[in-house]
Order: sequence, then C-alpha cells, then structure tokens
Amino acid sequence: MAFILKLFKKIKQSNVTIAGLDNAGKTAFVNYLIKGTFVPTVPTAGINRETINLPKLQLAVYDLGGQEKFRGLWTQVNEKANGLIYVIDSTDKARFDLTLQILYEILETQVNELIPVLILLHKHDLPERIELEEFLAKTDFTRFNVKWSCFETSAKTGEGIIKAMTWFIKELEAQTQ
Amino acid sequence: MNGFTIFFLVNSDISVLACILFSSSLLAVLIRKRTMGTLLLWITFLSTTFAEILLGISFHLEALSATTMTTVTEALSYTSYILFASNIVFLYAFGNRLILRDNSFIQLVYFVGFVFPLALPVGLIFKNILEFHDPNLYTKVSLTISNLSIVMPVRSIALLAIMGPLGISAFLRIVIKAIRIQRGTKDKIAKEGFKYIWQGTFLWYMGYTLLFATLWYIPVFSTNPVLIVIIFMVKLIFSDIIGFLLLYLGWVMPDWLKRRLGTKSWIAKVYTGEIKVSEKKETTKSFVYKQEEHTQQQKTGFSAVVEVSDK
Repeated sequence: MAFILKLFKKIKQSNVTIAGLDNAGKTAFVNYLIKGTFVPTVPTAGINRETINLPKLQLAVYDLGGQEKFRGLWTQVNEKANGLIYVIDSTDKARFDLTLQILYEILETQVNELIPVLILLHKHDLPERIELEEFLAKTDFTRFNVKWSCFETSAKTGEGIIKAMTWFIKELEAQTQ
Repeated sequence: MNGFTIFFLVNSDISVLACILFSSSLLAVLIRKRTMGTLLLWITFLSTTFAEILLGISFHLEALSATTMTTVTEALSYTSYILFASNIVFLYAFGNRLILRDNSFIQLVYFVGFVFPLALPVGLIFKNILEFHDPNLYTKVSLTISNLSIVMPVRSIALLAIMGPLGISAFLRIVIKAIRIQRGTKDKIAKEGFKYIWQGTFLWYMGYTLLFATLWYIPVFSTNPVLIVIIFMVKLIFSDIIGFLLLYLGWVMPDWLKRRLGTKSWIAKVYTGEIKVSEKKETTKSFVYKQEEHTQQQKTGFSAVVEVSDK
C-alpha cells in the first residue's frame, strides 16, 4: 500500500538549465552530479535531459549543447527554467568576454526574473585560470533582478560542487514553497 | 432493492470502470508499440473487461427485473465466468513469453489443460440454457440478504477443480521465476518492472481464485452476507484495481514512473546525508550575492558588493 501511495505522492518539479559555451564542462558537471565521479564526455548535440530526485523536489536538468549551432535552442528551454546554472571555463581566457556577453543576454532576454542563477567558474583543477576576484571585478550583475552566486568548481576533483549545489537547491526549494 | 444488492451493483460498476480504464490505456500502448507481450496482456485485460461487463449487466438485469434469474441473465453470468476462467490462458501466455519461456511440450500441456476443460462445457451450457433448465446441471449461489444470485453449472465447477492445480502451478512458477529474475537484475528500472509484474500476477490470480474458491466450494461464504461482501471487495481491490495497475505499470513502465524510480543521483545522496563526502581541504572560493546588502550599499553610495569566502 505504501508503494501505491508513494507513486501518487506529489513532488514539485523544477526545470533547471545548464548553459555555457562549448567545452565549458557542462556535461561533465551534470555527470558528476549523477555519478559522483568524473566521466569523459563528447560534445553535446542538442539538449540532454537528466532527472535528479530530491526529497522535496525533482530537478529536470536540461544540459544545453554549447556549440553555436545549438544556441538557438536555448531560448525556449531557458524561458521555462526555474533555475539557471551557467558554466564558465575559467581557463578559456580568450573567450571570457564572449561567455559573459552570452550570460548577460540570457539574463536580459531569456530567463524569468527572480530565478536563482548559479555561475560556475569551472575547471578549477587546472592552472592559468581566472580567479573568482578577477571574475567579480570584471562583471556587473547589479542591473539584473536575480539571485545569483558564483562558485569555483571542478568536475575532475569534485571541489566546490557540493557547496554550489547546496546553495542552488536551497534557493529552488525556497522558490517552490 | 436492498443495501446488499446496491453493494453488488456498485461493486460491479467500479470493476467495469477500472477494467475499461486499464484496457483502453493498454490499447493506446499497443497501438504505439505493437509487441506480442503487449497484445497478450491487452487480451487478458480485454477479456476481463468483457467478463466484468457481462456480469455487471446480469446483476443489473436481475436487480431491476425480478428476484429469479432469467435465461438472459443466466447466459450472461455463465459467459462472464467462462471469460474469467479463460483469462488464465491469456495471462499464462503473457507470463510464459516474458518470464517462464517454457518449451513447446510444456506449453502444449498447459494450453490443453486450460482450454479443453473450458471449451467442453461452453457448448453444453448454452445448449442447456436454451432448451430447458436441468437442475442437476446448475448450482445456484444465492447472495444472502441480496436479491441477486450467481449460477454455476456443476460440470464447470468440476472442470475448474481440475484447472485449479494447473493454474496454481503456472502462476506460482511465474511468480517464483520473476522474483529470481528481479533479484538477478542490476538495472533498477527492470528490477522494479519485474517486481510489479509478479506482484500484479499474484494479486490478479489470488483475487479471482479466492472469489471462485470461496463462493463455490466453501458453503459458509455463499451464505454469510458479510463474508460475501468481503470476498467481492477483495476481488475488486486486489484483482481489478491493484493487480491490473501493477501489471500495467510493470509492463509499460511509463516515463513518469521511470523518472520516479530512477537511481538516486550522487548529489541527492549527498544532499540527504545518505553518503558522507570526506572533508578534504578544498581550495575553491565562492561568492553569494545578497540582495538586501546590495540595496543597502547602493543607498550608501558603494558601487560594488564583493563578499568572497575562501575556505
């Protein structure tokens, strides 16, 4: 009987999109969330969907392909998102301005206001990366009415992921209550 | 029409509705995915649905017309019980295709064992109904305090007694083998699927067997109104609702169920404290923007808010 009741128990669902430039480490990050270990990936074609079941919340995670040809698909998914995770390759200094420009565009035109935005300075395990202070100095999110935070993370070592996701999940849970 | 009659009518209506719901849902799946397993399960559902509809009509006609059974209600009643019994064949075929995988000889033994006892009385029963009522051929089970009665030919009761051991052996084997497969399967979704199928098969078979066995073979059940009501309730809940639901879910595995059953992700285990992550020294930094502070600082003229935590 408990099984039957469990089947029909209402669980709130949140749509979460993971965006960022190609080769930023979005799929590796999702894989780390699912498996708890680094899994080598291939470039994502289109959109991948994963589900993460939490006690009070079900996260429908949309891993968006980062290549330019797939970015046109982002708008539709982002419009329905209850939360956004934006992954930045902290070692890709050459495309830093481009990734910021895309993030601003998403915040300005695609996502709903007031949703939590988690920015990940990814690939923390590699040298020659942009530090958090440097990132904060170069960015200005004050014009957007979003709850945001920035974490340094690595899908190879798993560093920063728990802290980042704990903040993000708490924000999503607060939003759905 | 007394309260007990109303109970049987409502009970039969709910059974019919549940069976129609599951049969039509499975038909939609069958149209989408034309597989033999789905077809066999759908035939089982459909046959039960027809049986429930016929039994329901016979109950309603009886309740509305007279306290005695007419040829029409008897014919409906017989047909429905024959359909109920024939479902054993279809469900065995489904279980065999998916789980048992018996060789041709064993399959033949089961099919002959099931079909022969069923096919023989069908013709004789209808011949008797249409020509005359031979009291030696029928046993009436009156539902005490209710103005309804169930009829069953003596011949069919004897034949069903022969079918009983075959049915029990087939379904016990299906359940035992499905449990073994379930235990040996690593994939969580498949594991759950097999679990639902054996549980559904067990409940379905148990509900109907309990109904037939108690009403026909144990006199106290056909004379005690409370026991009859309990038996009909058990049949409705275990066979028509939960049994069919589990069989449907186990075989079809809808996407929403797969998502629900999906293996718990690493982050969910960490978040719920199911696994502890070693407290190694992390070198990452983080920044959490606080809107209230930002608003306050804007008022006091600060241009930027930077709160960096370094752990």
